[in-house]
Amino acid sequence: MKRKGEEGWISRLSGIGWPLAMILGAAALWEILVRMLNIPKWLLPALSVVLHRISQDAPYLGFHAGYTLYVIVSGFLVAIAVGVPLALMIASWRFAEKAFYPLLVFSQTVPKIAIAPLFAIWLGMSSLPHILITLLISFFPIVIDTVAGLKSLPLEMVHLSQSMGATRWQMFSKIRLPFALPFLFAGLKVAITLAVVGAIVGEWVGSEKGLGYVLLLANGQLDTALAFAVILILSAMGMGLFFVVWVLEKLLISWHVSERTKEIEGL
Amino acid sequence: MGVGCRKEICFWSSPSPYLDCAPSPALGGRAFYEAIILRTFYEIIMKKGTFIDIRDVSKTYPSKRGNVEALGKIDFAVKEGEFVSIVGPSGCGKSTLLKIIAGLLSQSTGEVLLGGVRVDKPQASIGIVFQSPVLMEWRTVLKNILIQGEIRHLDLEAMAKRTRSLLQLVGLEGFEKHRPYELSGGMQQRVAICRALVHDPPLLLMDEPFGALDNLTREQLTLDFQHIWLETKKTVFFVTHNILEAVFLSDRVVGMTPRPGRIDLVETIDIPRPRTWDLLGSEKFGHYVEKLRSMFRSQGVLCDSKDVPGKGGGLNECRVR
Repeated sequence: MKRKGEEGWISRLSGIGWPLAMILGAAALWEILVRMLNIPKWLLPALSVVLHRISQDAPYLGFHAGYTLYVIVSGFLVAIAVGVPLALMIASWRFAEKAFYPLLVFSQTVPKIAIAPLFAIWLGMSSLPHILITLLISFFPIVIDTVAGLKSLPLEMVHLSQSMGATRWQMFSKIRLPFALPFLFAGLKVAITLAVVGAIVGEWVGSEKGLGYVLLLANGQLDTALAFAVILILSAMGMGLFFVVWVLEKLLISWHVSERTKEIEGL
Repeated sequence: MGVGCRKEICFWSSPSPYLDCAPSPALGGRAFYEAIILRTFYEIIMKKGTFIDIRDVSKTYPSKRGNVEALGKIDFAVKEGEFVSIVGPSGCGKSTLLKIIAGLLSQSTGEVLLGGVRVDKPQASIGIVFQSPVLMEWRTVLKNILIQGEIRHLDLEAMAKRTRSLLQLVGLEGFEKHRPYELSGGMQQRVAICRALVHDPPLLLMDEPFGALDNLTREQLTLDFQHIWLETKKTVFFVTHNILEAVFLSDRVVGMTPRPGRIDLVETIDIPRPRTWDLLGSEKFGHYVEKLRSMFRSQGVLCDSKDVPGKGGGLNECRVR
């Protein structure tokens, strides 16, 4: 019976406890090491210094974080709006696969950081180039995973729906799409983390707003505390966005094998 | 004489006059007579009572190393309400034949008539069960069965009612809200059978439906399926490689040769129903089973040690599978 209690304790800890303990541990280590080794502030500021900086410059950082969040979210949403239909086309028509797939791979092999300045030249100092870079960097996993999902529908399921006299639309909406959803979400989870990178890359190349811009500024002035403040905010933002996608996934595909919380045995 | 003349089971829309309800004078003058004429015409032309008419059907797959003949010429008719099993070694094209009947695959030569109508596209007036349950993970048991009604735009309330009685018939009452993954393999296959029956199709096509189950479950499900069949009296086209199962369930068993599959033997099983597994020890049952086994032996599909020395060629005489 004691064992059972232990297991409960361990599983509770591994639920929220472990990640939290690891984060707190890393934070404490950071703080202690910086203080003990007397590392200069411009090289590596202590966590407390960074946190203090965040609270001090809250309105300023908040404004720029808001802009970056706007870029990330709109880039991500456009990536879905472009990626899912593209995946549909690739999965349904052989010619689309042949026509678009090489282009798709090409768009991914071109270093985004290399073409970002071009976007800035073509589109000027608006938010457009930033959103575009975000889109370009994050739509790839969405397309690839959705195509994989749409294509891996078992032949028997196709036959089954044909034997019910399903129309193309019924086939898609009732069978193909729900079947592909877990794949789509796998792509979305990768895409949302990439979108954060995309937004920063976009802002680096030419912007007067956003956390990427603040980061450049901070680096230029050797304001390491500010740079770390931005990085902390960015990672918090990334984790928050990932969490949103994760919750959506939990809600939408609770039936999927990756989401099952309890296994019923002995049946 | 029609497959079903109750209004509520005329779900499918078929151009076949006999599949629909018996012509009613309510149709009005001309339409009524046309229906009568069509029906008479059909009864004269068709072999009486034939439901699936397979006429010289063969299938050849093109491949890089020349054509592969999967199915030799098959000429066979299944009567209405008959339970016919096809047994054959793997790769003999029995599943191919089933798919051709369902209109899911096109034949290379010949034609299939289903209720007098040529099969040239996927048939919707059938129920189909595969080796795997092919359930939709994202739907509950009830909704997995109801999808038949959703896609066919049938009255869902009536369907739900029918689903419940079917679930009861297969011993799954109370599982409506469960997800497929919460069920065992045998239970999942029971759900698949319900799904194939819920729209009350005149024909049930089954492609090794119990093939993926363990032996105990298989035995039970075979028994239960007989019960379901006795209740519904569908025409069943049952593909299997299990001789016992075929003999147990069928009115007639068709034995096929290895690829390219041809009909080697047609055996009428003259054992009254309901049959039980006690039959396993009976002489009559053993006779049918032995007949099919000896067919496989003569094909070299099955090898008994006693056969080997006689043939002189040792194991080489047998096909290594």
